[in-house]
Amino acid sequence: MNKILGFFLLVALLYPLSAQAVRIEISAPGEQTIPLALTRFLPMGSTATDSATQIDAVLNADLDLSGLFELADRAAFLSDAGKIGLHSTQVDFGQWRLLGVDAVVKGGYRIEGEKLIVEARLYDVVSQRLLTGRRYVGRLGDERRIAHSFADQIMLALTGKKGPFNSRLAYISTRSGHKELYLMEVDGQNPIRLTDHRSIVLDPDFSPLRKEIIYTSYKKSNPDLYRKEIYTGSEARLSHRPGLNTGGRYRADGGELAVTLSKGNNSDIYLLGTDGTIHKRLTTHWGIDVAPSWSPAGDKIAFVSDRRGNPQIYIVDIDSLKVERLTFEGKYNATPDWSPTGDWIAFSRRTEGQFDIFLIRPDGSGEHRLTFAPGTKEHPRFSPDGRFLVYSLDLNGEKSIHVMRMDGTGDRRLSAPGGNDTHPAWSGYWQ
Amino acid sequence: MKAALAAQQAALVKTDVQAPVGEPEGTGDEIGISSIRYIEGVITENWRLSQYQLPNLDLQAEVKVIYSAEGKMRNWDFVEKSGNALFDDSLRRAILKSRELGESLPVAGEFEIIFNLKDLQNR
Repeated sequence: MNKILGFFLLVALLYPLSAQAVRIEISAPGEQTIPLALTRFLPMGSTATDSATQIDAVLNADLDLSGLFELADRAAFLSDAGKIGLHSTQVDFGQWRLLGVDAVVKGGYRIEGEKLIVEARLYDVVSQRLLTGRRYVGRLGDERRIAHSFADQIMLALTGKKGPFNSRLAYISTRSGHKELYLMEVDGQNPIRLTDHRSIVLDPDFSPLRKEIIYTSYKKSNPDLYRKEIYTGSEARLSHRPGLNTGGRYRADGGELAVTLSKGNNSDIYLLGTDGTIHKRLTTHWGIDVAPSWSPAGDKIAFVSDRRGNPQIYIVDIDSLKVERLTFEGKYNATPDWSPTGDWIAFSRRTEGQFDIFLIRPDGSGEHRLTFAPGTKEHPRFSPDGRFLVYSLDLNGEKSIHVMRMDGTGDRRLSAPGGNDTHPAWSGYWQ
Repeated sequence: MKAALAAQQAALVKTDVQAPVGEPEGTGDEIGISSIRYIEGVITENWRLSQYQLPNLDLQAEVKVIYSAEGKMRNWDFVEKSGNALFDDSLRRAILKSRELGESLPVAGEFEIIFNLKDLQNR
């Protein structure tokens, strides 16, 4: 009798595991980074050159900034790291599994005269398949551009959205002795000066259609709005009405600009055509209205106004001209920038004697602070994919350009020492 | 004083413990953690996904996994996908990396594992 009872008791104890599926809930991944092996690109037929070092440095920095990856220690790499591996059948995935990585980047390069050919691959180690691969043909010296492009491709393969690394940053720098317009890569490299106004240049913005930048300059004493073609250097005044012609911002389709004009009186927000003609006046308040920023749909504009006493962020509807106040906290909110994804507006707020970067949703919810370190942070601008923010930091008397992820992590300095750098603007994707 | 201590002791003994054996809140009358918690630990450890990969954190998928008593995966499949290819891919990788548990189980078993990002949403 006891044996029979014992048998049924045993069956009852094992039943949950054997006959009925046990439900388990896992509510977060064990790690929030993808373990990735970035192998050094190898020469394909030609002799080794500095190209691999440059590609390696750019890929490393871009992938690190993305926050997506945990890069595997190269000291642990096995023999497969010494093979180019342009086809999945040529990759020893077992070696990479041993290292615990989920993905591996491999590639090679060949130099033919002045021509540089780069083959780059990203493999999924677990399923042993190619995730993305590209063949780049350029000139010697294009290593950085090619590496930025492949970093964007890796982001596309692993997130469904291209990275912003092959784009450019415009900013204002005093390193020539005057406030001039500069352009640099998104990792701060290869800065070049674009203006020689020997005056004050301010507040750049990129055209979404052409390699063209608009900015305000006091070259002819008045703060006029200029446009400049980046590669030809061709420059023209777009708006030179008496008083302010500042804060020019292109609509996402490039069809119109929002700008602050004072026309000798009070400053308000206007819409201009790309030829500089006024299409519409958007605000008519006696308060000072400045710093417009378009919603990605082009139907609304965020701007700063002191109409209630202190500078706060407001939103105006382009059609109805209805104005709604967005920020209520803090006594000084400035320089709004609407995310290209439409769901956030970044701005700077004065708190405890310094400005810091905040985010708020366009409906006024979800307001939170992103920066906490010492120094004043201003002029936040989103990357074209909405994942990163660039801003200017004023610390210990030196102004520099910084970048961070949209959650405030991964902050790093971009502009080199030796000048005061402010007013960054992020270009669209750079073809 | 003695009476108060006795009441406290009684209250401790009477605590209605629901947590599995081996968990911090469990009864602690057996050694080791349950096989279910072990499997959960292995698969969680093998699940790697960055929130920067996802457009939103409101995703859920369900996977059915069958392990032999030796701790080897016999079969697995999606019961329900999330609809986000990157999220589902990360689960596929986690399951494939968990083909061998490294420990035997009391008996072979079938497990329905629900993957979501609730803990990230709450941060």
